[in-house]
Amino acid sequence: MRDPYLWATQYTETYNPHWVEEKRAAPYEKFPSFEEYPHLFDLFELLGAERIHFFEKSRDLMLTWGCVAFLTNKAMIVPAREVLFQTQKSEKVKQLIKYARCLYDRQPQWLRDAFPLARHQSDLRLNFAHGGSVIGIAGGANQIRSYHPWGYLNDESSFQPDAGDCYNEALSAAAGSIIFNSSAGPGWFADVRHDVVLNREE
Amino acid sequence: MLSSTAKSKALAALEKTKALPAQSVADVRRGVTVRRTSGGIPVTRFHYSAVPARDPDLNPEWKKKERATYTSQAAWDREQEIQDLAGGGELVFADVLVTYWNKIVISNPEWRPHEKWRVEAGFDHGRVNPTAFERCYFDYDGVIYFCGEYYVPGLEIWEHAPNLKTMADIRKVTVAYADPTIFDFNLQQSNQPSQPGKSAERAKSFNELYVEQGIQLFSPFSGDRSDISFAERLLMHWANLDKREPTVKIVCRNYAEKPVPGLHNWDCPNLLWELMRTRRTKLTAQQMLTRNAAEAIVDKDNHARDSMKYVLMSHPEPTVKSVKEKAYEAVEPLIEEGDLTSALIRYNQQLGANEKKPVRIGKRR
Repeated sequence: MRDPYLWATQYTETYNPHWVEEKRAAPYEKFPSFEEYPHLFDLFELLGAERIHFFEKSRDLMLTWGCVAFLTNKAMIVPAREVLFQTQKSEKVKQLIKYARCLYDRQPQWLRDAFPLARHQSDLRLNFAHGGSVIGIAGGANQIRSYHPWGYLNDESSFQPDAGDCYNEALSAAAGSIIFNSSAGPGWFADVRHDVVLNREE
Repeated sequence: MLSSTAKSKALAALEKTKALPAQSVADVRRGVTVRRTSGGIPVTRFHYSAVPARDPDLNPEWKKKERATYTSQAAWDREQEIQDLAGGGELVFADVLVTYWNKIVISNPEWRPHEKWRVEAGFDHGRVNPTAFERCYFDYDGVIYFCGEYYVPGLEIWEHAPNLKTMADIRKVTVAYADPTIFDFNLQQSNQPSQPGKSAERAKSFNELYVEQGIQLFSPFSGDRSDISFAERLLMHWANLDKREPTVKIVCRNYAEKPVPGLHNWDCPNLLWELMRTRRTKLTAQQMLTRNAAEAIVDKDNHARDSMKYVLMSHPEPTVKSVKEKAYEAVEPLIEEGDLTSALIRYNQQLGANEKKPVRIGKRR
């Protein structure tokens, strides 16, 4: 279980709300294999290698699912570890918590027994009995301040007006993995990726 | 099972980027690349071609089919080709700049403005945003040369002032037009005395703070501040360049695709960078139903551009030659011929002819 890629591809499943339209056999499926989506292997490998990552992506590559799986795995297997997901609006972040809950629920029973959930759950939290959590927060730099997570995922950063401030907050709040993941769009995330953000040091 | 080669690709590329300059790309596999920002943060790009079933080389049908589901090329470029600025408004100056770069941009490292040309400037104060000071010269034919700039973000006025004082030709600047809002008395800490026994504080303007730091140079710009008018005027200076020379030129020997903050005594890289990025606003699909195409210009990265606007929209006149310069020009051929006596006579005649006579007001006598 220490290998998040192995866990994601072999021991749990994602769900696809369009499974009927896409003529799939069932709504729940394992992560695509290496032959189908080789980049997901790269994603997990990169995430384990360094603390901070910026991802720019085309749509529908399951990057968000991959980042959620990586952080959910880390929160699940390490006692009292918290990870934070942030998106522009709380409705969207509920979706990410739903991803995390699906990944937990679709594990084999013996894994769920090994890492049981806490009694209290909500749309914005997946709480483990060992004290760890996957927490969802809406956009805004001041939302991060009350937390001290190990990992932080900022999803669709190009569409968050204060993504730059969120990044600065995450640097001091999160001790472990910091991931900014987004499809393209003008703004801070585009500028910082291309080194056009001005600061005093420059 | 995965091969060891597949396993090593991403980490090898990530490691490779540590030795490469910022923004240099290392390939992981088809559709996946890694680069680093100047701060060392890895940026990984996941393009749809990473999925074999979507790779245009292996399965061109997917792209055709998928592209048809997008309503515009811009939407496709943004969502699938990862182009951040796709779908933005029309670029205003980039086309003419790129097409006539060699005419508009002076890149000869030896080039310097004539010492007799009049010097003016435009100024845009910023605190978090860059403070921009653009110096420009006017030749005898009315051609305007932007040559020298100060472009620094994040400093206080007391930090900008000494930098500005060291700028080349700063003492030749006859007028520096600035945003009129820097003359408003709206900076006030308190209306109480700062210390017992001292008089109460009063509101100050940014300009006053510059004056206190020894920069007594700025005049409020009172002309047309519209960005649209400015764009039209600048494009007029750059119109029909197939048949003539531009009447606004920009000196730049160090152009970069990003801001280059600092004092550039004889170049304007940041002005060029801002002009290259200047866009008209883009209307949403809903707005397009009820409005004409947008003409307004996006109010972003417009610090050096605003400084340029103040100069250009003040309708500057060409530099006028002095009486002595005109007289010297008249006798130059005689001097070249060696006829110094005639030259002296002609010189004095020219001085006399150009002497300004008082205009008599009152009864004719």
